[in-house]
Amino acid sequence: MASHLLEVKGLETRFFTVEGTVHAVNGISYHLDEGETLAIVGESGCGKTVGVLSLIKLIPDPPGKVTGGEVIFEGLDLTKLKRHQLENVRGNKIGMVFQDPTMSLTPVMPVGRQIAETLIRHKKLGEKAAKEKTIELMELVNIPQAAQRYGDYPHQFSGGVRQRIMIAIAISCMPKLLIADEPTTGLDVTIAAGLLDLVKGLRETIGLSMIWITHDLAVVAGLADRVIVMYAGQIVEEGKVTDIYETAKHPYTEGLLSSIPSVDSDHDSRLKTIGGMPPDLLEIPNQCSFAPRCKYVIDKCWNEQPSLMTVMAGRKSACWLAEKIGD
Amino acid sequence: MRDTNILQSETDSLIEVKNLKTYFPITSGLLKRKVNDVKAVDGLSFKINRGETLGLVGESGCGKTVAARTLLKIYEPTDGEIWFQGKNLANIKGRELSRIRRHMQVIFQNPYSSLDPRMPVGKIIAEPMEVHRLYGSSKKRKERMEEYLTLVGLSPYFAERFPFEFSGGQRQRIAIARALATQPDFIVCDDPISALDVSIQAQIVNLLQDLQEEFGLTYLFIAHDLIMLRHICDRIAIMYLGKFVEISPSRDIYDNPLHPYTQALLSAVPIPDPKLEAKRERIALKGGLPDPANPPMGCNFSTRCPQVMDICHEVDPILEDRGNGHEVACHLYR
Repeated sequence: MASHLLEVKGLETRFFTVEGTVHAVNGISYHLDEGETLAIVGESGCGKTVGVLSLIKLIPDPPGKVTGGEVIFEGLDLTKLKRHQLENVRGNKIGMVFQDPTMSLTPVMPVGRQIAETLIRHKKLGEKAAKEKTIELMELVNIPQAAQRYGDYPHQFSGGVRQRIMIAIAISCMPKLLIADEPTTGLDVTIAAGLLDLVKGLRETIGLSMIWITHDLAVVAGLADRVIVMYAGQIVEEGKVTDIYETAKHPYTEGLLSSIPSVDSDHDSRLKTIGGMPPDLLEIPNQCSFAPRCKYVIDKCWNEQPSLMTVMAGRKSACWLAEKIGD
Repeated sequence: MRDTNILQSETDSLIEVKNLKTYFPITSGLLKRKVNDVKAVDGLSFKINRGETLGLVGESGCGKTVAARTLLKIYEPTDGEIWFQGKNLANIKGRELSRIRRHMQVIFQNPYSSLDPRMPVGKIIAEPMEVHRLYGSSKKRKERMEEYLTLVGLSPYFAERFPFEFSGGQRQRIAIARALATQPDFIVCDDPISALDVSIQAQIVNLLQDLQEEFGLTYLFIAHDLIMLRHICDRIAIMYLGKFVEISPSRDIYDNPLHPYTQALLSAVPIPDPKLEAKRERIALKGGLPDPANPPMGCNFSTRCPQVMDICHEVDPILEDRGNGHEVACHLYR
């Protein structure tokens, strides 16, 4: 069996708060192959961000803790690594881009310096070599007049360019894996489109594998090879992007896809909605977590939690009725 | 019920804007002498018909929020006319303005900052009724407040709670109830869905459409999501650097975009279908939005236009009807 670049097995993350234990991520398993782009979609609070932050232990501890599971990256279990060992992986072999570039860049350091810092730390480059490499990186992410702008501060750049700087930092050490957490949210469509084009280009030129977290199903359609849909800290569906958009095999995915207007949607038609609210993650009852909002619900759903099962080749769903849905 | 029976003009337009300009002065030096203007809104003319939804699209900084806020007289227009209920809002102020304001309301983008965190929800909704002294007594206002809560899909039992106890979608429902409380004719929806999750967006859009049908509301709808706008709006206006470049029935603008800027904007929209998305061809624009204090000579878009001609650098094109109410401001179609 060919080994995957990343393999996540039964990952579990809890937050221990005064109100009780929040079951943020509940035993998720998936893999990512080299050169592949995996999208993780779901609504706010479904655990998609906590799920990937847990991969490299970036969740605040306390109150958060990865309480179970394995994260095998290039044959190494990241959950077992010591802090200094993890630091050699983060930003080096795994790059990250976060949602809000204003929050993730420090306002008091020139941007060039912020990119160079990663190179000095991980690649042990000298000041001069790091600066040269940084300017190359800034050119690679299409920042005009890179050399002149090396010493500028984040506030002197627009939101879209700041996000390009974040990407330059993330790819500075030529990582194997890039994790992107909603990097296009909040950007104008034209700016977001430019950023997506850039990322698609980089994927080709430097051979990146990517995990892309988003709730924008339109972005996923053009970017991902495979999709994971999360609900209440669990994976409810997994499959190739073309398959999932063609027929959803989980009622939640079906609901999500039908709640966005289609390209030829009529002005008079109504959008379909998913009634109800996502469950409270303080307690996980032994039932399907989507049952209270599901229109196909049967008795079994209230008594037994369905696990992620293979429906057909390359396609998994956590639903008792998976075979029937979408047919 | 005062001044609700003001006669409309012969046309069925609820609001008519003529050559609206909103400039913000740039001052310099000790004496704060005016050196230039930021031309945020630079000569808009349009009508919105009764019961219609007009969409307003453009990149950040194009002036769409300033335009909407000038309509509501949150900002003072520098020049132009805003005709609403037989009055030119640009000329009136004080008590006369506050009386007419009852008929125009707004829903903001971020329901986390648009609701007072220290005010119970019931009071948030009842406050506009108090300000305009509607419905006689505070007891009647309370009854109305409960009706509006129910109308937007929340329980009257929530009236005592505070905004932090609600999710984003619920907060936006509260903001909608507050907007409805004065029985307005016209509501500005300033990107009310972009901060919400996909499935919640659909709920809010459906609610707004139901309310429009029930009360005959007229909307000016600002949004970034062009596919959603097409679903919501009757007509769509595309704005660039303080001006409309194209305005048209929404179906037309997607099937047959005329202005090069509209074409570029539409080509940047990802399609939620992997097969169609793979075929999408993007027109990438070079450079960024020009400085609205020093707009380019001629057409505002001439610095970035892929089809630019000599005349574009000299003459600013005006909006002209190309048939079926499809108006475009571009020299290519002259």
